[in-house]
Amino acid sequence: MNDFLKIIIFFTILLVFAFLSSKINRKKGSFISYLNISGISYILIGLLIAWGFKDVFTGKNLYYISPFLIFLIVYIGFLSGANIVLRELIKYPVKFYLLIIFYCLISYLTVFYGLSFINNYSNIGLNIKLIKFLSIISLLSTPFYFYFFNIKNKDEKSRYFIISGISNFLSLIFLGLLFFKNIDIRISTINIDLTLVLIFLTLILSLILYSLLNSKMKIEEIQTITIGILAFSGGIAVFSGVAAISLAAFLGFIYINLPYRIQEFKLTPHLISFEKPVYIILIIFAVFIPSHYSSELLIVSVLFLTIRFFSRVLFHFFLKTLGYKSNLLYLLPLGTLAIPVSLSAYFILPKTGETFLTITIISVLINETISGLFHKKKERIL
Amino acid sequence: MIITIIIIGLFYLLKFSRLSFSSSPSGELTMIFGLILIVAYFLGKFGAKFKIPMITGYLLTGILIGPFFLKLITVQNIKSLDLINEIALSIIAFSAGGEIDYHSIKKKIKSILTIVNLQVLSTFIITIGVFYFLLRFFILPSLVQSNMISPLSLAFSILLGTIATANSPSTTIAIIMETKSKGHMTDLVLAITILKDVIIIILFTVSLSFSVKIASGGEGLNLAVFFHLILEILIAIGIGIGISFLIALYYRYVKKQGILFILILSFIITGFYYQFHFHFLLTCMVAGLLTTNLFSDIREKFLTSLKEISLPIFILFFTITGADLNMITLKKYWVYALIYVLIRGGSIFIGTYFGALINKEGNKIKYLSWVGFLGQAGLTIGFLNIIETKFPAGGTIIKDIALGGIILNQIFGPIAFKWALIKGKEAMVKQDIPTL
Repeated sequence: MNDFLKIIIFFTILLVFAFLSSKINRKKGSFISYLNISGISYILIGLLIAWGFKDVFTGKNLYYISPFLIFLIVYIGFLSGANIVLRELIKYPVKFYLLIIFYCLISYLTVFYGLSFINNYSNIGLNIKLIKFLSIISLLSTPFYFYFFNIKNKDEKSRYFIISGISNFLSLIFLGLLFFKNIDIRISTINIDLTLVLIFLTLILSLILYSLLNSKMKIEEIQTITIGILAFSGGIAVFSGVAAISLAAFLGFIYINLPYRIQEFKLTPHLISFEKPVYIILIIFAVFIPSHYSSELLIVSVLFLTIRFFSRVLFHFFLKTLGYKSNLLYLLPLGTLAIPVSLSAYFILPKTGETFLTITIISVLINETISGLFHKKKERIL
Repeated sequence: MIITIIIIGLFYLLKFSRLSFSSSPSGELTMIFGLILIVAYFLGKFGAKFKIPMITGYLLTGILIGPFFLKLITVQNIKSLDLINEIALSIIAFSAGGEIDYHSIKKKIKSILTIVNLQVLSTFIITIGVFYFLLRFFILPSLVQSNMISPLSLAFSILLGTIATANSPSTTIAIIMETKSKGHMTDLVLAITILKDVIIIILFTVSLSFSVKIASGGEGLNLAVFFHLILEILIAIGIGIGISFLIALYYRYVKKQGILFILILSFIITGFYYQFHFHFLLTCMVAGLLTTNLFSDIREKFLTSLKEISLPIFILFFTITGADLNMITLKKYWVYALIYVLIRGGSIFIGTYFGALINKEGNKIKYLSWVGFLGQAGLTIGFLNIIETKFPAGGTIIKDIALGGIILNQIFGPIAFKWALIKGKEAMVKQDIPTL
């Protein structure tokens, strides 16, 4: 059986899996539901299929599907950016945002200095880029516990969603800055700064979106152009060595905050309806990429998670000290967004990116499984 | 237009600049994918202001940004986009089959069969006659040895006759969807186009075998090949039946993410086609036809999913097709290409006219419907590639002449068909408002 046929069989299995998963128990708060929402089941399924198709998605074969994966990454990045609706955010006081900034800082600095300290006093051999990368993804969180608990206080719920949304968005922007290498684009004798080109690109694409939303176009037409814009910006990002997910997040942020509010109810729900399948496909594919899961990377993942947990505890006690009500559990899950983020890094630096991706997958798997135990405990308390 | 120029400018800036690092081919392909969707859409819309069908606009965009004009897309890029193109084609084939309503065409079956037969016969015979003369006295004498002129003229004219009978279901379905046409002529054209596609696959295999015999004087008309072909068609139909049940199962029990399901299904079908080379277009048409006619409860959901996805699919497919058209060929053989187009158009008219006359159809079918069969695309180009391989000596000439004709047919065919649908009062949209 050749590799291409294996890819096709893989897709067939994916389709059967999608069919079966739609039929299993989806009762709110159930164990199966937890496995699905946390992404654990998709990672496990991916690992299981990857075991049978381990030589399929390498080198040449990945080339077939990489434009498709880049597009999906950009899709997720765009939606993450589109989570930050400034009109909604101005309702909250400034001190709330200061706390979010503090939360991001404490998370980043604890992981960065924690891992640097361990690195200096052991032979673990982490490079500075990996430490910075892990510090950035430590900001990520997914408040999926809200799907399990009947939280009566809507304000509390929305505050945690905002914390998570902003920290995720900042994480994506920091990732873009981490990988950004400013270069000159040379056309004959003229040199143009890449930063200028990207700023110009973002402005133009936003202008297109603005004019689309202002027109009498049908939803299918707006959707098609949006897909085109996402693919175009994602392609440009990867082509120029910039993190595609970061550029898309920035674009999503501009898009949602355009003066026309039509996007909030017209286009965004259509895009969001594909978010879950996009995540599932990305997770399953991401699991294929790492060539090996070594014990060294497992140790790095455990260290990273421990330090990240410690940063959350610090923030929790800080809030308590200030007299705020805090729930440590809500910001604990690392979230499935970490996987597209790592994939985006992989497309810029394939060799180093593979290590980032492997650590991320292991970390998500461990973190969400342990968070699941907390979730069961919390359920009893409630 | 301004948006289009800026986007092309940005693309040009990045693609042709000397970047100080190795640029990613995956990034380039994703960028091209986006470029096609944005630029082709806006240019298609711009063309619609001049009453040009959107798909002609997409084709012209493909020609403009393709390897022969702006060179934004290279031949290598087009090859890399082959998979996307095939997936798009299978989705178009699903739509083509799905749009046929058996209950509305069963009363027209006599007309359909008569017109199909007469069209195939008239096109086949007239093209052979004219091109035998042209090849024998004008084209081949300067290219091949004198003893080979006569047999090769006959062999090549038979092949050109077969090629001329082929049409493009994807173009027909795209124009019908763009104009939201409904009515007797629409049903008839769609059904005939699809039926002809099946007949032409068989006709081509027989003609090819026969032509090889004439040209080489060796291998006879191979019955084994013929039976093998019949078996292939039956297998394709069988798979199509299976897929229709799968679609029904999905839409009945999963009920959501229909678009994603169709995309993955099309990818799987295309992938299996790459491996086993079955007639995947026929498979998809049969699957579409059976899904909408056997499982009436899911008909609307299935067609809605196809319609929701149709715009990006049409843009991608027709723009890539446009970029793939070899304009140098047209420049080289434009006179013969024009003769091919005129002869083909005339013979299609004759076949349709007499078919309609026998069945006492109205003037709409007699005088207007024939333009619905002018478009030629994917399948025909596939046939030409086979001819080129089988006849290394002169196959390229046949390919170039027919390809020149296809370019003209594909540019003017959709325009003519849109005009006919509007004239026949079957198009639901105003002439000047593009809706696709």
